[in-house]
Amino acid sequence: MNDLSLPLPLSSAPPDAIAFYRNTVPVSYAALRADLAAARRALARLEAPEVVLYDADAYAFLVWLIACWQNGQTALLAVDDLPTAHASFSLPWVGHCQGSVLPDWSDSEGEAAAFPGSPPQFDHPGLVLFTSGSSGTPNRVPKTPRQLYREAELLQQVYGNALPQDTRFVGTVPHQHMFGLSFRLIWPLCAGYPIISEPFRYPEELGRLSAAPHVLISSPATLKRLAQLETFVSPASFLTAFSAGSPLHDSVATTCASRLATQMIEIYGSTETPTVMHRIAPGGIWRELPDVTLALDDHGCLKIRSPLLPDDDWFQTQDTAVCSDDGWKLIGRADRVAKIEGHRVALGALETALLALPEVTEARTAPLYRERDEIVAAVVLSDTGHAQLQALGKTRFDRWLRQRLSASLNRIALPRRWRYLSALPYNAMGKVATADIVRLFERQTLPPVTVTARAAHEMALVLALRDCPHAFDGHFPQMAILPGVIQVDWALRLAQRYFPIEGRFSDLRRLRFQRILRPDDQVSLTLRFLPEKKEVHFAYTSAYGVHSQGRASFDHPVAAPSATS
Amino acid sequence: MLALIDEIKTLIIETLNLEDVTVADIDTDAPLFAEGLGLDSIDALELGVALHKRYGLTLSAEAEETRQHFASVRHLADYVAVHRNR
Repeated sequence: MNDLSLPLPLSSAPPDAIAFYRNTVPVSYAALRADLAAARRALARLEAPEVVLYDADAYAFLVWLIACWQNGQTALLAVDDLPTAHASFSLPWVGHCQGSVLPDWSDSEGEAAAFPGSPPQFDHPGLVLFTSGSSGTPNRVPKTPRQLYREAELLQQVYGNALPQDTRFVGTVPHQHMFGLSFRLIWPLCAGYPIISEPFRYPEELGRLSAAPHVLISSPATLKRLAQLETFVSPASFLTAFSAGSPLHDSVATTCASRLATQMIEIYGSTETPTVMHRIAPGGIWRELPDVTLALDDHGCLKIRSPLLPDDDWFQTQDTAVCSDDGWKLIGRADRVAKIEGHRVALGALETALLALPEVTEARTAPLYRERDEIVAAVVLSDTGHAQLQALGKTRFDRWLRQRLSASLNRIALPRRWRYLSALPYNAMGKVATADIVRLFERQTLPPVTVTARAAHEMALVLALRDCPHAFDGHFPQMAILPGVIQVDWALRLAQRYFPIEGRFSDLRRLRFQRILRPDDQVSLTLRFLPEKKEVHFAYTSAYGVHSQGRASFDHPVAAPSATS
Repeated sequence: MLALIDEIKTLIIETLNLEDVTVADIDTDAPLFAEGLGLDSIDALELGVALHKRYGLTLSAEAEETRQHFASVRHLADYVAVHRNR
């Protein structure tokens, strides 16, 4: 009997066919099936109808996910395993991550009763995703295996003809989100293409691929950096490269198409819908996937009917579009409207006006509701813009930009605060979250950080000192040096962001300032948390060596005051 | 009068929480709104409240008159010097 909760190759592919590559080592279907059986037994022993799944390794992640479905269990996909994520779920965590009850399936030998819950079902909502990024608080989005397999079928129908059976799927996007899950894992799994398990976080890593046909699943965040590399060489032949998450700039698409020697395909969709339209970038016309129907509502916003949605109703988006004889043209988000002192301000229109200036390369705006409502802007300048900023100084340049915008916009809609960045703070999904913009304007701002290495109690972060000019304010007028007190403050606050530290800061020891830190230093911060000693060790280092280091101790948690008084 | 002019510039910076702007950045004779300092109608509102608190003067509800007082820091200083009662 065909088990409908399983993608076909899992039951029909020959045992020695290759399902995955883990660090270039092939994994056969026989090994995958054995791991699935072990993961099922381990999950069944948990006796939990719902688990939280997080595993950075795509192979292990997929084994756990399919095992959940076979057992009739539901997997909630966490996007990271930071303490904040743990705090929001009181369910057992599964996968190789912090706080996991099942880091692996290796010790689940022998027979075990199947999970006593519902039998495996194609229409069981075996997966819950959470929407992220620009639209605020996360929403639960449940999915059934049927919806995911249907999308994989459509993708194979549209793109599969051009892909030989030994095409390897490689991705730079996380598999815990909809696009990565569909394109990197479920589609190749259902169609029997081998999958490269580890994510390729940096574009230069694509040079390590073998001389085989590949499909690249990526996002503008990575592709933009690929386009900026001085040279790019990869032995791989790319048959297609997909991009989703945010709009792909024409110039980036052109450069990447030439560097990868393939066509760039841009995908439009969302966690809820998921894939809706696709086009060849740059400049291609957006077209719906087969059986997807699009229409516009009275406000010019797209609405969608799709076999990939849970029902046959229209799904309303906040994305504005126009339709011509040629096809669809996407305009922007309609819901990004801020209320500033009672005035409606369309942030999309404001950003469009900013981008129209030759001084501006990228721009993101956000409302800030403090003592007075205001709009703030984070801007990446062009060379012309930088020259102008140098010539005028920041205050006059701020004012000059406002002046340029006031021709087309109400003065209340103009940004009152500006940050000039070397890059916008894109997250792993290639989106710029409003919260990350707002953070740039907090008075005690932490610098933008990139996590370069992470273990359970150890982290390495690269800090963008350039983007934190206020930290150098008045220290000193003749020569900017990062104050030691700020270095300590950042280290402790970042440690509290990433580690589950209980108690309050109590003591600082072995503090050494060995080299000064200047705005242009390429500095990384390593943090080590010793839970048993309640200590955090930190060190700022660069190519020149250690700049500063120290050890902070934390108290035992303060007892909560008694409820009766 | 020079002291009052600088005092009003400081008041503007503090009241409107203008980032990175110093007293030296504000031109005494440039318009506060539109092409000058580029303040908006909400700023005018907040500035009105601050002037009332600091100098005890009440700006007229008459828009045209207010616009004249706000024409520049110098205009504003002249007006404050004559009408202040604290």
